[in-house]
Amino acid sequence: MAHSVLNRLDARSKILLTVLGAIATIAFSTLGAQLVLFGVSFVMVLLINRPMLVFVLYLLMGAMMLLASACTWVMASFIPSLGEITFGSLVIPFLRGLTMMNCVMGMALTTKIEGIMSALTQLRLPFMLTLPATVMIRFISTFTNDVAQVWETLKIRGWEMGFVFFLRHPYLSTRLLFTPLLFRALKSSEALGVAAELKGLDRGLQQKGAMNFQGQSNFSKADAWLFLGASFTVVMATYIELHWIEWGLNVTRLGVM
Amino acid sequence: MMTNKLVKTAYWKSQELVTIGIFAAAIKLSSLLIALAGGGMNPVSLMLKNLVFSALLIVLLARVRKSGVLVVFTLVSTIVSALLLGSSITLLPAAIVGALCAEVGILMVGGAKKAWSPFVGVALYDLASKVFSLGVSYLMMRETPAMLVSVIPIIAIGYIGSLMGLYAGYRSLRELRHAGIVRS
Repeated sequence: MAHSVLNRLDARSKILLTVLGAIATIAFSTLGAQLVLFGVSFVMVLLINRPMLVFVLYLLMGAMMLLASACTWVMASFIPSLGEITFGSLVIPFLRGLTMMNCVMGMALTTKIEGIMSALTQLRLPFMLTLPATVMIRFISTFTNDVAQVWETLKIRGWEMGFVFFLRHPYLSTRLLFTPLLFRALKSSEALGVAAELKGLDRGLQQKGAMNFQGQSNFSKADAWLFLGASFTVVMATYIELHWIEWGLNVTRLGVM
Repeated sequence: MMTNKLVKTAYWKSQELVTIGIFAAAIKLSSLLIALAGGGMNPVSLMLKNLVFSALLIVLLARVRKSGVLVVFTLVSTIVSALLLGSSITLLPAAIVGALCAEVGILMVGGAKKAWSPFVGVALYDLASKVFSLGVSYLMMRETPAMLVSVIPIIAIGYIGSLMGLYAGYRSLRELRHAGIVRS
């Protein structure tokens, strides 16, 4: 994980920021407000200090947007009642997607797994969510290794899995991938479930167990600045939403009437 | 004097919660694996992804026969996916409403203990979560309804995969029952 200013923030702050970002992007519907949200979230994503990764993500998002625009243009050509496509109407949904991507990337790429565990416990989530979440986070890496092993086994046995193989043998490829994963999941759940029961986890994590996840993380000055910045952004976006309603809209009509 | 003390037991056993967590990880990774192996977004890999998702979910519901499994699974899977894998948190409300609809459906067919409840639950969960996801997508793309219309065929293809997953789940459960891994 590259060193970034965002590493100093509490995981809970980043979770709350992402939720706020999701609510704000859906609530605002003017181009100006969406540009403000996107601009601020883009600055945040640049602070991750991984320019190459951000570039690749934006490239992929750009390809998806081009594909979506082409589909939209075709649909609007065949069904005129769907309305005309303007610059604003096409750009606003994309800005929403980009803002969400920036927020989630800022959170996911700068938070360590133990930080997430700690945040989940400190958010006082019930035990019925904390335990499966812990197990899921722990087992994603284990299953990744299992998947790599399954992949290697298939290669050794002469199955060249890929796009063409999937198209030619969808049923066989599903069987080849599904069966080992299912048995691995069943075996792991059996063994780990018994271990959890023997450890007495039926009575919850209890104070001592919860302490292991909590660590020493507390809100710092950086978190206060983050909340201040987020509040200022939302206020600015609200002002623009209320006073600059038509700004940037209907600038360019994109041909479909 | 003997006193009868009633010991209050928790609704969820740790073994059941562990099973939910492990299946959530397996479902998430198998979806990623199929998307990567299938070369990205194409109809075949989209259908297979949904097929494996539904089949694994049926096995999970057959293993943990309790009300609320789908809600816990959805919450855990969506929260962890957002935190670790960067998936969108805006889909969480749609998925939870979908899970609640499926839980109501399961109750209406007689509860989680019935033999058909995993199939009814997964069919309803897939349908409801996809419909409500379309609702969230509408909120995200409300300025351009044509964009939403172009998403509908993709979701329909995904649901066909889910329906095929019901059959795959039925066959898997039959084999697992024969092997004594899942009890009726």
